[in-house]
Amino acid sequence: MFAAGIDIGSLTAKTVIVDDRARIVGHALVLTGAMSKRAGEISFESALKVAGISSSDVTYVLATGYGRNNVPFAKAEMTEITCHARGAHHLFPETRTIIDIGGQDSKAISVNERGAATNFMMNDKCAAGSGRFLEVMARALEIELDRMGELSLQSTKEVPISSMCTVFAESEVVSAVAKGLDPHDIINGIHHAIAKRVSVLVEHVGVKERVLMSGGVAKNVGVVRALEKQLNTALLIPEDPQLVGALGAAVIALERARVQASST
Amino acid sequence: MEKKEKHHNKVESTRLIQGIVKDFYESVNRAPHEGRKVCWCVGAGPYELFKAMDIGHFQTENWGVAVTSRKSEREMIEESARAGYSSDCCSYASINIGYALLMQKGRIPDHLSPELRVPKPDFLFCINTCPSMAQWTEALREVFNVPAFIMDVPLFYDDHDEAHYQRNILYAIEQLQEAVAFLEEITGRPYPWERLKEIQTYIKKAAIVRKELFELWCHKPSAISYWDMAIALGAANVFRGTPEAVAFFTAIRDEVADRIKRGITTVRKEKHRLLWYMNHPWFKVGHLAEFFARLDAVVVGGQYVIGPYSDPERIDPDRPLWTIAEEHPTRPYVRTMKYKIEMFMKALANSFQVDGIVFHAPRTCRPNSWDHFDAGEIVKRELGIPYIIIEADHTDPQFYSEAEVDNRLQAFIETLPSHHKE
Repeated sequence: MFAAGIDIGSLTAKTVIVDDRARIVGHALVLTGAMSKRAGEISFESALKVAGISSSDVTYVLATGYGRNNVPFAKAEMTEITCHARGAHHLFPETRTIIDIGGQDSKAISVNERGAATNFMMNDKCAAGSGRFLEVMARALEIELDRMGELSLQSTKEVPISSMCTVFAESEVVSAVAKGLDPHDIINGIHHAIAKRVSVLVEHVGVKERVLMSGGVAKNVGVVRALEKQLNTALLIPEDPQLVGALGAAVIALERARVQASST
Repeated sequence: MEKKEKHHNKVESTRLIQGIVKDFYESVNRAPHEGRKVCWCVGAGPYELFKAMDIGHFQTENWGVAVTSRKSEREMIEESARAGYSSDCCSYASINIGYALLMQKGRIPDHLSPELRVPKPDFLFCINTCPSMAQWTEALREVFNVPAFIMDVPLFYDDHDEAHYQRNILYAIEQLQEAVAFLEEITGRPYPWERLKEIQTYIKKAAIVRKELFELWCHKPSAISYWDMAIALGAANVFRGTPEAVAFFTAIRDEVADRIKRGITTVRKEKHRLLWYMNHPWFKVGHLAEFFARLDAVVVGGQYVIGPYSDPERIDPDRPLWTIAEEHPTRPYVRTMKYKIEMFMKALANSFQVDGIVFHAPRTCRPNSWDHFDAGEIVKRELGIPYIIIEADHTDPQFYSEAEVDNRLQAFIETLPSHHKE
C-alpha cells in the first residue's frame, strides 16, 4: 500500500510518497508557476517515477498548501498547518513548535505529543518575513538566493533593516549598498529582520522545545542562526525542509488508507 | 473531492427578507413624491420615531450592506477616496459618503439597483455609537446642507452602579425628547404618540416571537445558523415595527421548530460548533456559510445578529421613550470590555455549546475590534475555548483575501479536535 501527499505552495509544488510503513519511497519538487494544477500533476508523476510505481498503486492522495483545492485526483485536502505538524512529528517526535517560512507566508505552529497542531499564528497579508522577501533582497544585492546564508556568516556586524514592508526594505538595502556598507553585513541585517519578525509569531504561540524549522528558508543557515539567537534555542532542521508539509499529508493519507482498507 | 453539492441547508423563510427590503426602500424612494420628509439615519437609531411620523428613513449602514451585497460599492468607495477620505475610514461611511458626493454631481451609479437609489435627505439623524458616526454625519451635512440631530450615546463604564445606569437612561430620554421636538419642527406637525405606541407594540410582538426563536437557535445539532440569522437581522433593525416583520419572524420560528421536530439540520454531520464575534463580511455571507458547512462546521451564534430589542420585557409601549433608551444598554459598544466578555462571549459560548470562537477584525472598524486579542485570551483561559482572529472587512471587499481567510479558518477548525477533553 502506498499513499501520497501533495503540497502546492506559492513557489513550489511538492509530492511525497510513503509505503505501508510510512517510509518515504519517492519525492519530487517542482516550481509551481502559473499553473498550480499542472505543477501538482508533474510533481506527483515525478515522485511516482522515483518510487518506481504507477498512480494505480497509490491508494490515497491528500492535498495541502494554497493550491490544495486544485488537485482533482486527491481524495481529501487539509491545510498545511495540520500537515506540517504531522510531518514534523513523523521526522522528530520531540517537536513541540514549528517555524515554517515558505514562499509567501511564515507561520508558527504548536504541536502536541501526537503530532496534532494545537495553535498557530501566521504573518499578515504581506510578504515580509517570507521566502519572497529574501528573493527580493537577493535581487537588490545582485547575489544568488542560495548563497545568502553562507555569505551572511562572513559578517562582522549587523546592518539594521527597520522596515518590514518588502518594497520599503528593498529601498533600505539599495540605500545601504549605495552608502558602501559591507554586503555581508547587509545580508546579516536582512536575516535578523526576518528572525525578529518571525520570533514574534513563535512567542505568540509559545516557544516550547524542541523547535523545528521547515520550509525553503530553513536551508538558509543565516536565517537559522539568527532565529536560534533570537529564540535562544537550537533548531531542528530536517534534511529536506521543503517536504515536511507533503510528508505530513502523505502520513495522514496513509492513515486514512488504512481506515478505508479496514472498513472494506 | 465534492465541490458542487450545497452543504449549508439554509432556513427557507429567510428568503422573505428580499420582499421586505424591496418594499422598504421603495417606500423611502416614494417619500419626496408623496410630500413626506426623508431622513438618512447614521447609526442604529430610534427608527420608530421617524416611522411614526411617516418619514421616509433608512439606516445608512443597512443601505451599505444592501449595496455591497449586490457588489455595487466600488464606485462609491472610490469617490470617497477622491474626496480625500482614507481607505481606513469605516467602509459603511465610505460607501455612503461616496454616494452622496456622486449624487451632488448628478451621477448615481447605473449599476445600483433602482430601490437603492435613495433620495436626498431633508435632514440627518446620527447616533454616535462609534467615533466615526458624528464625523460621517458632518460630512453628509457638508454635502447636503440640511439640518442634523446628533444623539450622544452614553457609555456604561460601571457594570454594577445602578445610579450611573439610571443617569444614563435619563440622559438618553432627555435627548429623545429633544429629538421629538426637532422632528415636530422639521415636519410642522405634533408628534403622533399613539402611532409610536402602535409601532412599539409590533416590535414587542416580534420580540416575543424572536425570544422563542432564540431558544430554538441554541439547539444542538443546529437547525438555524448564524448566517440565517444574519439574513434576518434587518427585520429586527431598520425594518422593525410592522406586522410584516412579526410575520417574518413567526415564519422563521415555525420553520425552525419544524426542522427540529423532523431532525433537519444546518449541516448533515455537525462536528464543530462555532461562535462569531463582531460583524462579518456581508459580501461573503453565502460563501462563508457554505465554507464552514463543507468542513462539517456550523457558525451557530453570535451577538451581532441578535440585534436590537431582543428582550420583550424591556419593551413597554406605554413608556415609548424609556423603551428606546432602555434598548441601548443591550449593545456591546456602550459596554465595558468585561461586560462584553461575560455577556456576549462567555454566556453565548455556553448557551450555544461551541468548540471555538471566530473574531472578525474589520480593517475599517478598529474601534470595535481593538480588544479581540485580550478578549480571546481571557475566554480561552476561563472556558478553555480556542479562538482565532481573522482580518477582513464588513463592506469593503478589497480588504478580504479569500485564500488567506479560508486557510486560517480551515486550519483553526482542524486544530479543534486537539482541544477536546478526553
